[in-house]
Amino acid sequence: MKISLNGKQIDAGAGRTVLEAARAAGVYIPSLCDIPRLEPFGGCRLCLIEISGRRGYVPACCTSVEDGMTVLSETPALQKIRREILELILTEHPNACLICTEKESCDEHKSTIRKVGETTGCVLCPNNGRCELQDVVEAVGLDRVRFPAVYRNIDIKKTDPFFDRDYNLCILCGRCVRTCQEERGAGTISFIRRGSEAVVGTVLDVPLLEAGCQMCGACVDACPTGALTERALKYEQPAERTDSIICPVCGMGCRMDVSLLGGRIIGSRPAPDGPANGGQACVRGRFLLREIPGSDLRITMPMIRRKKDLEEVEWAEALDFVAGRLKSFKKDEIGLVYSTQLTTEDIFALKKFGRDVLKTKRVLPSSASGAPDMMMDLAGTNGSISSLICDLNAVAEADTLVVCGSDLPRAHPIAWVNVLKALKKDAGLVVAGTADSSMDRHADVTLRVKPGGESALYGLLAGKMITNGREKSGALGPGSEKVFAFYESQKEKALLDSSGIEKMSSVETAAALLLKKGKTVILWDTGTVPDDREKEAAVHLWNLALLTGARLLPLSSTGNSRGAAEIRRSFAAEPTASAFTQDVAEGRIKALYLAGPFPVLKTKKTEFTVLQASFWSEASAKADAVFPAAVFAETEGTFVNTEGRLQYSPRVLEPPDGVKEDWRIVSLLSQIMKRGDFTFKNASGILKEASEVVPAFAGASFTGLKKSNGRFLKSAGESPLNLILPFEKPTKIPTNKSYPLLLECRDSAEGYRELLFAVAHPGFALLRDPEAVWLNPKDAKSLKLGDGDPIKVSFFGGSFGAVARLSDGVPVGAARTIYAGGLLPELSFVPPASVFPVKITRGQ
Amino acid sequence: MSDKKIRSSSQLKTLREKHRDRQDSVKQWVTVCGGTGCRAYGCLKVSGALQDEIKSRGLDKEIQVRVTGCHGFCERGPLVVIQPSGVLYQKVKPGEVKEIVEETVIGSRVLDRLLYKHPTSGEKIILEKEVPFYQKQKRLIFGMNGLIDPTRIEDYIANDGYEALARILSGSKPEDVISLIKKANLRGRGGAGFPTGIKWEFCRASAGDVKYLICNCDEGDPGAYMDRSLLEGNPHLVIEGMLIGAYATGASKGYIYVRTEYPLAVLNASIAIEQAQERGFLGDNILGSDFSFDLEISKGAGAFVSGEETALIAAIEGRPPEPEVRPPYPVESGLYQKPTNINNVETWANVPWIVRNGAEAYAAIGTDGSKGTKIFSLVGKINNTGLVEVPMGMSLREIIYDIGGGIPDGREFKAVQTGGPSGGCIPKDLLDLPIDYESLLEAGSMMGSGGMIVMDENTCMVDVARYFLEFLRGESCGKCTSCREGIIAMHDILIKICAGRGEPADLDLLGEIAEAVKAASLCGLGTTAPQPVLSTLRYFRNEYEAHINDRRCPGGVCKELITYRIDPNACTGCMVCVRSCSVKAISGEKKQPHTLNAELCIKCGACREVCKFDAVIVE
Repeated sequence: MKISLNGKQIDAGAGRTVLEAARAAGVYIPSLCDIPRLEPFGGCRLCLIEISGRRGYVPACCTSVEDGMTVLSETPALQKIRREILELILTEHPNACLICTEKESCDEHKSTIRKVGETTGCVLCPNNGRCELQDVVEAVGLDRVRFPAVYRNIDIKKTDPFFDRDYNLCILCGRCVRTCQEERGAGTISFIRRGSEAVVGTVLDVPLLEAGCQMCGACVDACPTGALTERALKYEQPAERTDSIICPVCGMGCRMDVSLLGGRIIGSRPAPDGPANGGQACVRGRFLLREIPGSDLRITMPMIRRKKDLEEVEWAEALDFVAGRLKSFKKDEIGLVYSTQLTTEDIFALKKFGRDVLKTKRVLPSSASGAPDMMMDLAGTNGSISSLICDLNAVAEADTLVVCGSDLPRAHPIAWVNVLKALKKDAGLVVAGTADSSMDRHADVTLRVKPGGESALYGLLAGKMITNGREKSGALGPGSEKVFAFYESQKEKALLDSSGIEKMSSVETAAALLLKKGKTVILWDTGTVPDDREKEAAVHLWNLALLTGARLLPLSSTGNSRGAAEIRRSFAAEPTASAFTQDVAEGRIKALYLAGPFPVLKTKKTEFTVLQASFWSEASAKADAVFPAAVFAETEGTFVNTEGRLQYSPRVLEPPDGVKEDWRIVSLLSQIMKRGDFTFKNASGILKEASEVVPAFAGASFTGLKKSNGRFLKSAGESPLNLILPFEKPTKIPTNKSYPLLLECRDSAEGYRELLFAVAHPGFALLRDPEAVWLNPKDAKSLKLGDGDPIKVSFFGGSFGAVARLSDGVPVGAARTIYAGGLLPELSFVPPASVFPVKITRGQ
Repeated sequence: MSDKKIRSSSQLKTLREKHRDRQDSVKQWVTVCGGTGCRAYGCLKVSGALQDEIKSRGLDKEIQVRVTGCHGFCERGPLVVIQPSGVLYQKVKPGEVKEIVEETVIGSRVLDRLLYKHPTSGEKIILEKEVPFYQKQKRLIFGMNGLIDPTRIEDYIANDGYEALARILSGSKPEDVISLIKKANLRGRGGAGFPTGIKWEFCRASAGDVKYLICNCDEGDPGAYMDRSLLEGNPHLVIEGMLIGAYATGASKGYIYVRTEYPLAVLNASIAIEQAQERGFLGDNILGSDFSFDLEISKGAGAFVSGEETALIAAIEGRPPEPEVRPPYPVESGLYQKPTNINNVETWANVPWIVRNGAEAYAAIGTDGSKGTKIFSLVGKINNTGLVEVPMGMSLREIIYDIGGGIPDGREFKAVQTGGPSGGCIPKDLLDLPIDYESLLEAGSMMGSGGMIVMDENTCMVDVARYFLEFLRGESCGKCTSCREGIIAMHDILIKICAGRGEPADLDLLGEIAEAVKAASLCGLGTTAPQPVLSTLRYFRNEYEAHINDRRCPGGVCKELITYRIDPNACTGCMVCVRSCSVKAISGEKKQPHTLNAELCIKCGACREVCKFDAVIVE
């Protein structure tokens, strides 16, 4: 498609707006309200153009190109009107900084700092130098404002964490409003009031947190002025440089652009070209990364406990001390825990350390790899998983989406962003879960199950596929006849009862959506401690996917859960968390080597405990030796996200003196203990070895990854998939009269290694209370509990303290908590399962 | 309850005969105007008293009291008309009811003191139709308002109601209906004057399984209330118009978008929808045909900008009413992204008449480009405030002087503002301008929805522009820069000029901003918002110059530029102004000329208002 733009023929490309076509052709048309990802708005009026054959001026951002169109964007009349509009914009925005005659010398000498009032800025604007309005003024060449200035005199809104909102600087371009609505599906903010009083705000102008904001910061990134500004950056000088790293916190693998100044990370923004996140992030990546490397809780010197107290010593001494003690334990007497937020290389080194140096099979990840791991287990015998699972792009392209067991906007926001992209194209959405979620209002049908009722629901749905006419194909594996027979003999009514869903009609609606032609994707997450019940759910979902031709996206909870799951397959089987805990409690594990958080120290003091950690925690006080370990930005390495995307993350910071990378610490120990082959010189060498040992990493190298922008893991070759025969008898959650409520524990990566974000930043604690246990108000009433009351949660084998929070979204008889890896002293328990019976009483 | 559904045109005909017979059996009926304006005067007490009186005399079988919609002659309410004789009583109080019944209804004697007095000749006029206010009007659309009870579908049916619908459902194709409307050349009464038939044709041609109709009753202009009066006074007429439109466009669902501030219109329209559903005029298989259509009321929370099509759609969808860039036009992608045809109340109300009387008869009324009649709300400094329906092409002079009765107290006419807040002010020289869409645009104003505000010599045109810009400053949605900030900038400059702080350069600046806002804004509100400024600059530039150069307000309105004094020759010393002055700035003895202390005076104008001898001088 060709159009003429200012007399020049350009290739416009169908479906584009004139503004997009001009941008692609390198022709500048000023605009402040348009950003590529959002729907056209037409608010700022700067991009007005003339089109022959059309009356008046039209906004380029809202006008689609048509073949042969003749467009003028630089006529004298347009230039005049553009300057006038820009002048009008500047009447509502402090403009001294933009049109000051001394602007140039000011940048250098700050000579005019008091030329205008403090409230209206000048160089005091938090966004000075990072302001799109400045750029447009520069481009249009405006040097005066003749119209009367308007100062809104609105108090700066500072009650919410992380960023300030100063609507005196707002030019009402609506980018924040539309980003929140269109890209994040939140709709927390909107234009409120109208005319000269129009302003951006929440409903009734309540603080963002009260309005349900998840603090993803997308609005801050969209703001072209200083109206929305990250609070921490207001006190920082401009960054020296920016580098891209992979966020290690959750399993999405977001690429973040970190700003660096004086050996610190001062801020992080989602990289616009991040393969997984495409310019989006969540509160953790956007506002918490800067809190990690420079945390007050950083451990910077090795320590050992020779007598009563821990004392700082040199590395050599600490290594000798630990090596000597470790040697004294026999095979399998040492328990090793590793964090799944470490790099692939660190995890590989630790696994190898456990096997070859500690000589133990008791090796445990700090956080279960849940859904991806289970699907890989099933795939082991029933076909190649790569033909079944999909990436985030497939989510965005899906026609029907089924979200199972995850509150995506909170736990996996980037997956949610992709779901929204599909919803924009009219995809259907089924949400199945135990509690309400902000997804519900976007859903075609919400299937509210009771805790533990998931597998019944998935079985019911899989059965519906067969009974509602899905062809029974022999192509689904040799045992498929038996599977068909299983589903056909299911008792639907009984399954509905055990799922806890009220009406069969809502299951029918979901089934109808699944049976519709088109691409279907099922997103699935497990609870904290994946158990048989969830294995059963996995089998039903596997079958459901095969029966409908759907793809699966199992969601991993932490930054490298998926990488750990791949590595695990090349080592001996790992114990379950409860077996491991029992081994500690019953003395089969005599020593612990903790390279990841694990709340095991509360139950039993082991003979010897080594901590390889970055931050002080409750556990440090009980350790016999502490090795200070580097954090994500201080070590180079790779991460595998939930999609199976292997990405390289560089070292952008020098670790503090006395801090070493995890892989280096265990290598040094191995050399002193003279066990195992640990001759690695750098992380690159570890990946080389891993690529030879772990099939999924075959051929991977840092050089290749740096060049290729990441790549998907190698699969073990395509092979046909089989239906899997579910368990004859459904696994039931044990019930117990003394423990009348069912507590559901969900993982959400709300910290990094031993550092809980709620501890690292008080603002995060306002957003996500790590101590909260959510209850239905009816249950709370009968327990005589109010919102915020301290409670004691007891279960068979333990108890912990928490704070009661009330929500109608939790079913009666149930309770929910986000399991923070046992990092808070009160909450340092090991859940026996994802769902288990508890008793709640008033606590301290 | 028995099924009341009407399943064919012949059934409708039978029902109409029945209701006509029943109507004929009543010997006399007394109509009381029950429009919102007359209700404010207390008309319901009058109608209540009438009912009681007639009942107490046992005459309620022969004499009926009917509370109707707005008659239009709002200046003289509460209005009572005795039919069939047509005697009009004005400014009726409940205490006069007994006498009316006794003397006029029973005794056929006219009560002189309740008759309308001609403002110039002083002659008493007995019959409604002989009142000059009504004489020059042509009430095609509005006429039925004074005859029927809007809450009774029977009244509407008896007056040819739903006849037009029955006619098109028995034999006309949708295309026939569209070409009929096109031939009649009906143009949108909401303001822009887009040909209705062509709009319907576009909507019909748009692909879509679901199509919507919307009736726009947002009517936010200060002083304009014709849509309200139609919807509250004759809701079935609007519904019938929409039904015909739905048949023509292929729409299956309609919304009446009406502001919550019109409670009576909401109530009467809701009642009418319920009745129409009960009778089968709304719902499935209307009058036994394949045609199905239903209606719903969507209440708005009074925002002027909601009158703009795309903003109105946003409001119905539950979003803030902010206009969106067109194209796509609502006829292609409107409510819930489906083809949507929006017309305003008056446009819909024109449709049944055209179907019943034919396109030729309709096109015979009006000018070349503007056909039919138009309802105006005539307000401001005018003797006969009210709603008037006149054929297109009537001159402003006829409307203002012959129908409106001229300017009160013999003052000079200065300007008339048409088209609502974003219309323009038309000066005296153009009084003979024939009113139609094009001529108003040429004169720098517009038809708008039909507001007509008359201004006399005591009006300051700079202040008028300031007033309208103040209204628009609050009513712009704030989405686009040029409208939001341009209005603020113009308004700020106008405030400055009115306060006597204007500079000569301000006029050019004002003109420049006005042109920019007109050219650059997103929707109709923004592109017309500078009209009050542009038209006053065009016709009354001398008043601006007087404010800026001479620090003088010719209209005697802008407080900073005027002083009050009392003319000792005219003052009779009646003390009225002394008592009215809240700051005790006026002093004097009885029967002695009073004096006004300009230092204490706050220029509130209370003295000038109460003075019967024009002794308060403003300079």
